[in-house]
Amino acid sequence: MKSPFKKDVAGKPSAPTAPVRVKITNKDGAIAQPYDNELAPWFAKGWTRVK
Amino acid sequence: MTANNIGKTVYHAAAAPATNNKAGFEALTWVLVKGAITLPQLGITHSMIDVPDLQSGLTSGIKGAAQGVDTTATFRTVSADAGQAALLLAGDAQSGVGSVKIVTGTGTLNAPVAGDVVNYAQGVVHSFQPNQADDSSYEGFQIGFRQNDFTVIDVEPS
Repeated sequence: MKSPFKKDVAGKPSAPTAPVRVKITNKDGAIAQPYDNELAPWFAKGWTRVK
Repeated sequence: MTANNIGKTVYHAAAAPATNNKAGFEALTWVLVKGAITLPQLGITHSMIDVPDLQSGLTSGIKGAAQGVDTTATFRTVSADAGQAALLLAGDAQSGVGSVKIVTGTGTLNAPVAGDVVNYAQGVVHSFQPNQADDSSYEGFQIGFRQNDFTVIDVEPS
């Protein structure tokens, strides 16, 4: 049973992670490496992740 | 201070960025093209729309559509240079979509270092033509670059 005197200690908020580059390719085989938080416009233009 | 252009280098990427800004261009895979003699001119031209006026008798101009300039770059042949090979491939390819990055690098052998001013442009690489051979000229080629968006002027990232 939880003690009524024990304080709830919230977990430390995790530090924001730095964006990392992701390797993507287009239909011509060109390679680009945008940051993972900037992928949307690339995917909108048909680029896909390199598996 | 006005400076000359000696030391400028050009890089080619075989794609256009998703966004016409530094982040987009820096995501591309750049390859130095060695042997540059004349770099492509970057910039935009605007059509003008004439607006005549009978009362004043003056035809004024307002700005019309913009389009990127289409200029020719020249190179001396550097055998086994990956940048030249990629540029020639783009010149003969059906789409030729690509980007260029021009920089006066302050690093070793003019390599760009953080803070160096960089010009980025996207467009179409086309019209590859080897120099006409004769007994008094060097081996080289010319190639066209038609710009398809505004030039992005920024600095080399760290």
